[in-house]
Amino acid sequence: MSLWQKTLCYYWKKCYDLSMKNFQLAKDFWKKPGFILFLILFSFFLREFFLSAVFPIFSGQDEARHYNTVQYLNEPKEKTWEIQEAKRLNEKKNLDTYNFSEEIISAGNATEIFAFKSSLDRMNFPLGSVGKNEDLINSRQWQPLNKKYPPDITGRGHQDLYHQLGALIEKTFSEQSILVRFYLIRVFSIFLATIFIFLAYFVFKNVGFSPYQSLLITAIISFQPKFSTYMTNINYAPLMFVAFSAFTLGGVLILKNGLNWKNGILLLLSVVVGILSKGTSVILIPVLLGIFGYQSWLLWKKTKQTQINWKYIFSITLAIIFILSLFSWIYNFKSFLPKTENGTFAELTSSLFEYLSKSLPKIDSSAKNYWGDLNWVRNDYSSIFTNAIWIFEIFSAIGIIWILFAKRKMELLVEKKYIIFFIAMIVALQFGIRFYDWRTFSISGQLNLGTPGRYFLPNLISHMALVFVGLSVFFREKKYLNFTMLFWTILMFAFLFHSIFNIIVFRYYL
Amino acid sequence: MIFTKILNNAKYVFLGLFVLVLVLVFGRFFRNWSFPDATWTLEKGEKMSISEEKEKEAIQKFTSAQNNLSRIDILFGSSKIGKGGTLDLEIFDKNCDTKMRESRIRTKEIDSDKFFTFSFAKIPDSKDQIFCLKLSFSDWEKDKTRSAQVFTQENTTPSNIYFAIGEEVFEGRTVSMRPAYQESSFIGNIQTSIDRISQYKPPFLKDTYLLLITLSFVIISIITVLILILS
Repeated sequence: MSLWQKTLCYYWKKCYDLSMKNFQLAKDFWKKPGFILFLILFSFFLREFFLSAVFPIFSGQDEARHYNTVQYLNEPKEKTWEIQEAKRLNEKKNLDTYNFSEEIISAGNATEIFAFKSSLDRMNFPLGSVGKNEDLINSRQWQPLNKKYPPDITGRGHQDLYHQLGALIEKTFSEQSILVRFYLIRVFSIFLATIFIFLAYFVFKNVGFSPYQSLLITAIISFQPKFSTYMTNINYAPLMFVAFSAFTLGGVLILKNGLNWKNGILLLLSVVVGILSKGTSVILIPVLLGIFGYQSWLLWKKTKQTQINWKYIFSITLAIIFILSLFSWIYNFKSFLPKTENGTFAELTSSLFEYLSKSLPKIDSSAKNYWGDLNWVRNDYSSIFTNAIWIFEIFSAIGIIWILFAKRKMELLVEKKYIIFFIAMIVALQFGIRFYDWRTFSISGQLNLGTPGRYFLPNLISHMALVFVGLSVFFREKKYLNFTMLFWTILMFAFLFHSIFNIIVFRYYL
Repeated sequence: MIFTKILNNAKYVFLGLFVLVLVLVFGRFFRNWSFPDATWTLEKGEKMSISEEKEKEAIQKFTSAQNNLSRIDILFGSSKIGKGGTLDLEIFDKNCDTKMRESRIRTKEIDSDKFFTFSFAKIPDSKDQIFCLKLSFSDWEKDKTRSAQVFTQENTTPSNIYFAIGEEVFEGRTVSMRPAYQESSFIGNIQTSIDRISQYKPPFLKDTYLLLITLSFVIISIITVLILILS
């Protein structure tokens, strides 16, 4: 071979090797956890964007009230417009009896929201993409001011962080139509929900699931139908969900790496954000104390009594005092107790049994609601999905009990400390919600609050982690657990897409 | 042996399962993808019994308002149907002679909160045509005492031509029903759906943007699951 031929061959081989290397990198790029996580988050965000369009204005849970709270926060402090005293009649299907802003009442009537909400009738849609009264709504003839007092706003009104942030959006786009402002706040909820899913991945990865398994469980959460539909609403729940996910991650990181300033701040910040979002977040406080208590105990074991780290003890005590002060500033603690005539133990016990006899039979519907059973159309096949899920959950529960009480040492996918932490999260939320429901029952004698499934969604991350930890006990090889997770992913995808196209879109537009 | 083979080819099993899911979910959607005539309302008026007996068969004649009739929603009342039965909707020409379409629904229960959706292949030139609907119920256990209760309502509009149960004619009444129509093409269906969802939405959730968002989320969601299966 001549010199130029050898040179040509050399560079040709180099080019070929480089091309193959790039091809291999590109070929494997789609398998990278970072890319797949991006796809999960991006598809979730777009899906939620679509769902936020599908759900008509004010169709979410108490959505008009939440949006009215946002508008109320945006009002000038000096009320220079005419205000009338009006009793909150809140008649169903009559928006005029609600003490909402003039704009909400008028826009709601213009969009015929109750026609949309009818399960039997269908809207008479005009041709084209402009609603019958859409130009009227966009002409902004109505004022976003509450003219009927007391205004119908959520319990803590101005104290809620979500509504304050929503009010910022409302103020920034104050020159735009209500349709723009309203749906932008829905997009804000979707953004928060995306953060929830993003943090979920890191929770799973840090407790011991492999990157692939973490992606699968994250995908399952992103496809969870109730979570998907709930997060499109204007509601303080999405911000609380972020607080719960951040708290779960903070707790996991502390259990994994020990307490340091980063993990500590994440945990404390999530509690603060949670409490400032929705009262339910107070249940994070006992769990927080539990984590600090556990860390203190570990520290105590490590150090001899003479080597107490007073700086550490002082910081922990200060943090606890701060949290409890915040809690007592926001809440009147005594008002939390159930009401009975004389407050005796016998009366409390009797009230509790009465409450449980009415509430426990509703667990079935609550569980179905948790997964996204809408019950809007005949034969929506939701029971097929929920029954399949419950079968897995029964085995998972057996697995968890086995792990916790097994005498012999087991090789665990996830260490016991994380399992106990997740169980603590679930028990705390269950106890908190049911206790508050009991309290409401003790005052009114009826299940006015109830325990709809969506109330338990903040612990979706802990729940799903426990489901697969419990199931892992039954599989010797990792691949069988992966298959189970993959099956769940497809099941959730089917449940969600069926809900979107065959139930929700069908109900409102077909 | 077969089990081992399945496990070794698990990737393809899950792919097959996923494809089946897509077919079932979107198959149902495409089957029912039509636009109801909102001038027909489903009301819970007087209930009447129907069964497979000739004298208990409901006959409804109505004028179709548009082309591409492809679905009829009918509201039934709570009915004691034992283990279950089959609701049969047959669509004939105006003389009730030539059968054009048929739709059957097997059901284990009938309650009065939700309507039944009878879908069939679209009838292209249905506008201003009179159709004869025959609605009957057959019990799985052939118990002749069981029947389905169908809601009827007052309807004196010109589109209501005739309603009878067996030989008994009821003037000014119809079955609580609502016809639905497709557009002439698949693209037409997409356009109408996007138009409807776009109403009362801000500019960034209308028309082309909405269409792009819809297509994107469906495609990317499917790709995500495919990648998870193939990883």
